Amino acid sequence: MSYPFRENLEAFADAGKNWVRCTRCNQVLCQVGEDWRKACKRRTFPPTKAGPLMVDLLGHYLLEKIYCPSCGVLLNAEMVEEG
Amino acid sequence: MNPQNRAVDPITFEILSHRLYQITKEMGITLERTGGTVNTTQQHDYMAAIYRSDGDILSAGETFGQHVACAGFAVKRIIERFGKDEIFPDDIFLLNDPYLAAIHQSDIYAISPIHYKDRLVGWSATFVHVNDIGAMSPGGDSPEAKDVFQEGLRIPGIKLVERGILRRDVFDMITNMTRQPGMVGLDLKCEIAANNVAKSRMQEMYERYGLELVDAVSEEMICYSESILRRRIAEIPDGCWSQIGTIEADGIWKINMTLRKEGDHLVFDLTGTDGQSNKGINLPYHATLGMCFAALLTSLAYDIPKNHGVLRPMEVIAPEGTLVNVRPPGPVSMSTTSCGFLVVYVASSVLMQMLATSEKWRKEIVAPSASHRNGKHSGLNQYGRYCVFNLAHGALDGSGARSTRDGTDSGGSSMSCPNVEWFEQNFPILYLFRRHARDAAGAGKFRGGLGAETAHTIHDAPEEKIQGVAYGVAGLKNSGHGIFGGYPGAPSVVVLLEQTKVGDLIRQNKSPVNMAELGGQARLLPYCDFELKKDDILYMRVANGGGFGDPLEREPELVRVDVIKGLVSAEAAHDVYGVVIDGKSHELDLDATRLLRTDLREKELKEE
Repeated sequence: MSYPFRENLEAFADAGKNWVRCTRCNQVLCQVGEDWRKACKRRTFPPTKAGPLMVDLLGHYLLEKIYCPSCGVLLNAEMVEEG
Repeated sequence: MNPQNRAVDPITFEILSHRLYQITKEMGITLERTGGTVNTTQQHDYMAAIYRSDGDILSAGETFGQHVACAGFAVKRIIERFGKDEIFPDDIFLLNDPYLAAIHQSDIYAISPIHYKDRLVGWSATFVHVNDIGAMSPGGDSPEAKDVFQEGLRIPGIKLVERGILRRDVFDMITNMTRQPGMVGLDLKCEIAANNVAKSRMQEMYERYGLELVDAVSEEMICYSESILRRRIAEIPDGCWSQIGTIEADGIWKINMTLRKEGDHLVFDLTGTDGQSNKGINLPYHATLGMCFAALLTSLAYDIPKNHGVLRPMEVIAPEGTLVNVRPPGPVSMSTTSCGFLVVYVASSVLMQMLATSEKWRKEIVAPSASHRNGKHSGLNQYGRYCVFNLAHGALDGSGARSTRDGTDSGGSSMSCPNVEWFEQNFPILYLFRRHARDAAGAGKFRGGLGAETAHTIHDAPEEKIQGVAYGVAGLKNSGHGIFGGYPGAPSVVVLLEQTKVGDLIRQNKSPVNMAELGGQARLLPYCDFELKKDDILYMRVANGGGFGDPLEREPELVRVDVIKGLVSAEAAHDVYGVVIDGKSHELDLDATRLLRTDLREKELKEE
């Protein structure tokens, strides 16, 4: 049995536990309740990667993108404080 | 609700419940038609609702959820303060004390008991955002106020109308403590009119259908909303979701939200939120609860009757002495549009994460927004009269993208923004432009809606200057946030450009629409009072919707259309969306697009 966890991720039961996996490649990331982000690939970029009007954020924020560690599908993108 | 348990037959229930809703709509129309200020007549900055005899919400029109909840608390405070022996037919009470039930002093609740055959059977309530409240800064939002005593008139509950007679002494005292007694007087009188309409319509209902039947329908409406909402919540898997929101006010302040869902119950827990600020961005507890209620209404309860039944399945935890449960006498004058909007953002964000775990509800996901900056002006207008006016540009915000389509350009909020010509006719300003900002929408598989960017200068101002206040959600992490890989929208900003070339350009018959040609000294405004003088320009960009999903998965044809419309630049189409478009013919090169997208993703994953 499985149910959506968030876009491109789903939760499923196996061996008496609930797990989170990528729906594109079935890579298991963690157990439900754990931080799935820790199992992912993370990259940071200048904020202007999200568009030229993000120029005011330079020096303050970075665009952080989180991908499935196996197939590279994008799971999350947000501005995070620099440093 | 199980149909077998219904006390009222379904047809009667439908007719009377819709009638109760229509009464609140008519109250709103009355406010608009009898009000005198732009806030009420055009911007829809008001609330109209009816309540049961104990203050529980019975029905509300298309209005701000937070005020629907808080006006209910105001009714309860009036009952406690006056007792049923001092509440007479045709009384109307005022309350705007943020430490009792209001959110900030500018929003004055007018509350009217509804009697039938000498028995107190219900209440109506309205608020309008009055033009002035006698605070430090004209218009109420006071960036320099250090406590609530500097934020204007504070009414814990007073009779404005007693047994149908206007108390002129109270009316004059209140209006004379403001900078615009005439306008505030109109605001108060439109509230009296709307409450009279509610009372009259409710009494007609009691006369025609009988007290017992109307009461039974009222009870059933609340149970109906509660049962539907609880069923929806129960359909979603249990879980826990978190979100942090930030705001800048002499430093960065954080609001921490965790949503816990167990069975058919939701707990919005704001533990971990920063302590209260010495700027007026703080929220009283009841306002925080109201903001969570507003977020729940628009996410999981948008199509069910708006009443107390929606409050029952939710609980709000907000530690005292923080931004979300301020201790007196902390300042609150800017709370509604600062931490208020931020609480709606974090609450919406955790609710969207929750909806994503449900196959049934994930189609309702909307990228949440941390909202916008705003501004208001005051001073002598071109007719020599003192005026205060809110620009209400937030009504031109871009909406967040949905899981199935793009956000709405200038989808806005519950309010409306008057047109440029109306502003220029009534106030001493000249708009240079009001347009959608290119490349401002958050990119995604579905992009966010574009918000507006505007610029204005003074025009025909007798004093060659007007005052201004910059408020809203300050900081570069306001605006729309992306969801599930979607990018955020461009931040909302208020920028003062001093000593520009705008006058020269106009004298040369050149259209002053290109920011690069305007020159001047630009200053990004925090929470502050400022002056707009001759040749100064106020540039404002409101919130832009966040995107949904990976921008590299956006349908290339949609990107091409946005480029042709001028909403996305050719550079952003290439660099952000990975779409190759011929610069002259605007034709798509799909093979080159596939290669570019693969290349962009591989480079991203390789970079450390």
